[in-house]
Amino acid sequence: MGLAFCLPGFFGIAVFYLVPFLDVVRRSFVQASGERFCGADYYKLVLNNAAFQLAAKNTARFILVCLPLLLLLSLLLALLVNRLGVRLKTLFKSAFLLPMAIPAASVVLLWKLMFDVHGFLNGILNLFGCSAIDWMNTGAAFAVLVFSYIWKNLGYTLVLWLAGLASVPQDVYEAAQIDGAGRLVRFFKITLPLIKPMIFTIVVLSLLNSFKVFREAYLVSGNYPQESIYLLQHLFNNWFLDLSVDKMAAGSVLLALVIGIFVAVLEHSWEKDV
Amino acid sequence: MKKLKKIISILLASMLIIALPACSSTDSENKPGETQPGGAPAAQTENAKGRFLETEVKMPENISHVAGVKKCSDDSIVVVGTDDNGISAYKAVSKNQGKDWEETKLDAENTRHAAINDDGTVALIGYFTTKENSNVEIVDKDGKVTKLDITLPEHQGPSGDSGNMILSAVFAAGKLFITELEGRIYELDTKSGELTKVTTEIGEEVHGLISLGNRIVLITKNGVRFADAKTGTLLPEDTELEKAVGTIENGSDRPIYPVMFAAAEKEDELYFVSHGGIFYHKQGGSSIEQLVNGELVSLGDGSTAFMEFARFDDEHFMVFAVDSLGNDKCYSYEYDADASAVPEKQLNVYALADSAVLQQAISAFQKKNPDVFVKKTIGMTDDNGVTAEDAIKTLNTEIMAGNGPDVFVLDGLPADSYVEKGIISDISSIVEDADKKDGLFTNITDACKTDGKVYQVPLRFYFTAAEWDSGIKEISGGPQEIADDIKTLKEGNKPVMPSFPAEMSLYTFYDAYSAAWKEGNGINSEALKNSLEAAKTLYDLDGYKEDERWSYGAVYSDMLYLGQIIYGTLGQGSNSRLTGDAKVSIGTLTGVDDVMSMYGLESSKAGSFGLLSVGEQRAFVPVVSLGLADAAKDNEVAKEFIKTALSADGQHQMTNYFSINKKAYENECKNAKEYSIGGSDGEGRSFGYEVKPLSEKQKKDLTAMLESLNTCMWNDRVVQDLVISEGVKYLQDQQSLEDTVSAITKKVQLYVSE
Repeated sequence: MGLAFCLPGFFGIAVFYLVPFLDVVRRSFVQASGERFCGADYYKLVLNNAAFQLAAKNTARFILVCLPLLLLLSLLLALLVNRLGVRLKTLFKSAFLLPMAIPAASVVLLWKLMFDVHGFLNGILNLFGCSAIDWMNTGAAFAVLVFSYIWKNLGYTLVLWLAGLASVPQDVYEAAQIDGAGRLVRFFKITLPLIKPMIFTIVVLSLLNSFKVFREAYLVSGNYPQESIYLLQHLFNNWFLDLSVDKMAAGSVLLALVIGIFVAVLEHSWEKDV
Repeated sequence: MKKLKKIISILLASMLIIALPACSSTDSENKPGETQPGGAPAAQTENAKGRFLETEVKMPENISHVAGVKKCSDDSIVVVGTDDNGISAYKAVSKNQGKDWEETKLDAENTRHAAINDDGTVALIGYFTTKENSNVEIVDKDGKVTKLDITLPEHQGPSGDSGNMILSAVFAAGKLFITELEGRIYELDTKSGELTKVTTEIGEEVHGLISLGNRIVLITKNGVRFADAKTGTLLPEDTELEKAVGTIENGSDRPIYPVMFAAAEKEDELYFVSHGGIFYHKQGGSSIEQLVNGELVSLGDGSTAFMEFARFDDEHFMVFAVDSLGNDKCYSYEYDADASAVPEKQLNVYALADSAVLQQAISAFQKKNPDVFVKKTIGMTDDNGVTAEDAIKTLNTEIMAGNGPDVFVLDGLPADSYVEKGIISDISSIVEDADKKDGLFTNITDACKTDGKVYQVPLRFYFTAAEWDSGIKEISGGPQEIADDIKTLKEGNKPVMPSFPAEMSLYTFYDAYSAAWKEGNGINSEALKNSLEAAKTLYDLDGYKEDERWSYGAVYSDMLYLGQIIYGTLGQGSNSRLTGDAKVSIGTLTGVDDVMSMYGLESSKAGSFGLLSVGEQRAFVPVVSLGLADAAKDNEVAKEFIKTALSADGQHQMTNYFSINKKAYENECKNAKEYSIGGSDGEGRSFGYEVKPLSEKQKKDLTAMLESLNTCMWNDRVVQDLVISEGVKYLQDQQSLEDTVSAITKKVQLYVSE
C-alpha cells in the first residue's frame, strides 16, 4: 500500500529528474552531433579545461566561505531572537525574511546602486576620505557576492534554526540550570546535540541555495563577470550558448557526483553521531 | 478505509499521467518573432484553395519619378510624374488597370507632389511656398496650367530657419485640401488660390493627408484620424484600426507612408495596405481581416513606402509603392481561386535580428517561388525584449529538439561552434555556382572560409575608411600610425576629428583592427592595447565633453543588433569637414551610395579617402551571413534560397551595404541617381553638395578597394561586446588602459578556453 502512495511522486521525479539526468549521463559519453561514442573524452576535456577549473575553484571557494558564515551568523541571530518575546520574535523573523521576498530584478538594481563605481557605497567611502572601489570589477566582487548570499538567505536559515530551537524542551534547560549549568554549557551540552538533526537539513538547503546566487551575479555582470565570481553556472550557461552539450553534460555529471558524495558523507556522519 | 486509500492513490497516479501531456507544447503554438502563413482564414487547411497572387505592373514609360497617383471612379488610373532627369512632367492614364498607358506631357514646373481629382484635374506642388514663388500649379483635365498665388502662414523651423511648404495635398469630395509644416489643414480654392483653414478640432498637428472617397485620413504623430471631407468634421475614433495602423512616419519629401487606404463600396468600410499585407476593416468594428499576407509578396519589405492603394473590386487591388532603392513600382493583386490558400512548402529562416537585407532576400525568393512560404523567425524583436543570449538559448533548444531552422542568418550566432558541431553544412558548391554565373567578390567569400570550405556567406559587407582634407598627409595604416598622424594636425583649439561618441569610435576601431588582435585562439593584448590607446588619443584630441558629443552613440550597439540600417559613419563625420569642425574623419563606408556622397563631398571641399588596414590585413564587416542547416527539412529549397539571395536578381532589391555579387554591384553603380545633400550643424552653419553616380575612374578605384579586402573582422558577438563595454570605460576615463586591457584579455581568454 505504501508503495502505491510513493508511486505518483516517484513517477514525477523519474519523468522530470531521473530520466533527463540519465540522458545527461548518456550525452556526456557521446559527441553532441553525430552521437559518436567518445568514452571519457569529455570528462578529460572538462577536467583539463581552464574555465572549468576556475569556475569549480570559485564555486568551491564560495561554498566554503559562505556556508560556515551563514550557519554561524544565522545560529547566533536565532539564539538572540529566540530569547525575545513572541511579538518581537515575529517582527525580527519578518524583517530577516524580507530579502527573500524582493524579486531578483530589484536586488540587481539595488546592487547596481550600491556597488557601482559612482554608487552609494563609494559615496560613503568618499565621505571618509577613502578612494572609490570598483566593487564589481575587482577582487571585491567576491565579497559582494558573499554579502549578497548571506543577506538574502540569513532570514530563511534563521527561521529554520528557530524551528529547531523551539523543539528543544524547556524543562531540560530548567533542570540543567538547577544543576548549575551556565549558558555556554547549556548551549553545547543541550541545544547543540538536540538540534543536530536540524543541522543536516539546514546545511543541505543552504548548499543548494548557494547555487541560486548565480542569478544576481549574471544579471549584474553578464556572462563574463570579474574572474573571482565566475561560477560553474556561468560556464554551463555559456556552454549552452555555444551548444557544447557534450561538455555541459560531462560537467553536470561531475557536479552531481560531487554534491551527491558531499550529501552522502554528511548524512553518513550524522547517522553515525545521532 | 484501506479500499478508500487505494482508490485515492490510483486516482492521484492517473491524474499525474493525464496532466503530463498538458505540460508539453504543441507545434501549433505561436512564438514571438515568428510569422504565420496568413492571408487565409485560420481554419483553412493545407488543402484549402484561393489566394491573392501578386504581379508587377509596368509603369508608364516616361515616368520614372511618380509625384501622384489616383484611381478614379471610372476605374481608370492616373499617374503624374517626371522623367528620368526630373525635368519634364507627364500625366499617364490607364483604363485597363495598367496594361496600357496613354501619356501626355504637362507644361508644368512643380513636380514634387501631385494631387489628382476624380475629373482629371491635377494640383502640382513644388517646394517652398512664398508670395514670390508660390510653387502651386493647377492643370485642368484639358492640360491647361494655371499658376496659383498662395501664401502660406509663417513657419519657424527648429534651427531658426523660416519658410513654409505644403507637406501633402489631396482631392476629396471634389475639394483640394493641403497640410503644411505647422500641421494645419487648409482648403485651397483651385481657381483663386484662396486658403481657408479647416477646423477639425483634432487638437494636434496633421502632417499628412490621404484621400478616401468623401473622407480624408489625417496623419498625426500619434496615428490616424478620419474627417468628413464635405463638412471638415472629425469622425469618431476607430481604436481597433488606429491600433492596427500604429504611428506613421514619413522620411521622404513626398507624401509616401508605410500604410495607405482605399475606399470600399460602403462608406463605413475600408481597405488598407501595410507591410503586413492587405486588410479589410469595417469602421468601428472590432476585427481586421487580412486578405493578403505581406510576407508572401513584395509588401513585406519593411523599407517599402506606399503612394496609392486602389481597389477595383473585392478580388482585385493595385498598390503603388516606392521600394528600398527609391524606384517607383506598381503591383497588382488578383484573387486566384485555384491557388492553394497557403503555399505548399515551407522554409524556415532564423535570424537573431531582423534587417532590411534579410527581408529583401526573402521577398526576392518569394517572388521566384510563390509555392514556398518563407517562415522568418527573429530572435530579438523590438517587441519581445529578449536578449541575444536568451534568443540563442531558445534557438539551441529548438536545434537540439530537431526543430531548428533550414537557413541561418549567422550574424551574432556562434557560427564557429555550429560549424564544429556540424549544425551547418558546406555551401562551397552554391558559392562557386553563383560566382560562375554572375561573379562574386571571392576575396570576401574566401575570407569567410573555415578549413577551406564555405559554411557561411555574407550577402553584403562594408568596411572602415578614413577621409582627410587635401594637402595633409594620407591617413592610412594601423591604429598607432593613424593616431600619430592625426595628432600632428592639431593646431591650437581648431578641431581635428568629428565629436564621435565613445561607442562609435570603438566600433570603428573594432571593425578595422579586431582581425589583427586575434592570435591563435586567444587575443593579442599588445595589439589590443595599441588600438585602445590610439582610440583614446583620437577621442581626447579635441577635448570634447561627453555631453558635447554626438548623442546617438549609446544606441549604436542596439542599432547593430536590431539590424537597423547603419548609414556610413565616415560620410556623417566628413560633413564636419565641410563646416570646418574637422580635418579628418574615420568611420564606415556602407555602400555605393555612401561612396558617391564621399565623392560629392570632396567635390565641395577637396579631400581624399582610403581604407584602414594593418599591414597586409584589410578588414571588412560581413552583413547577413547565410548558413545552410545540415538538418534542413527540404535541403533543395534551402539551397535555392541561398542561391537566389546570392544571385544578381536576388541582390537587385538590396540597397544597404556593398553587394557580394559583382553583377549586382555593377548595376547599382550604373543605376545610381543624382541627388543633392544639404544640412546644417548645431550652430547653424550649412553645407550642401551634389551627389552623382560614380565616374568610370571612381568606380574602378572603388572596385579595386573592394577587391583588396582580405580579412573578415573578428566576427564574434561575445568578443565585440567585451571590447566595447570595457573600452567605453577607458575612453570615458573610468578605467586605466592597463585595467581595460587586462579585463578584456582575461575575459576573452576565459571565453575561448570554455
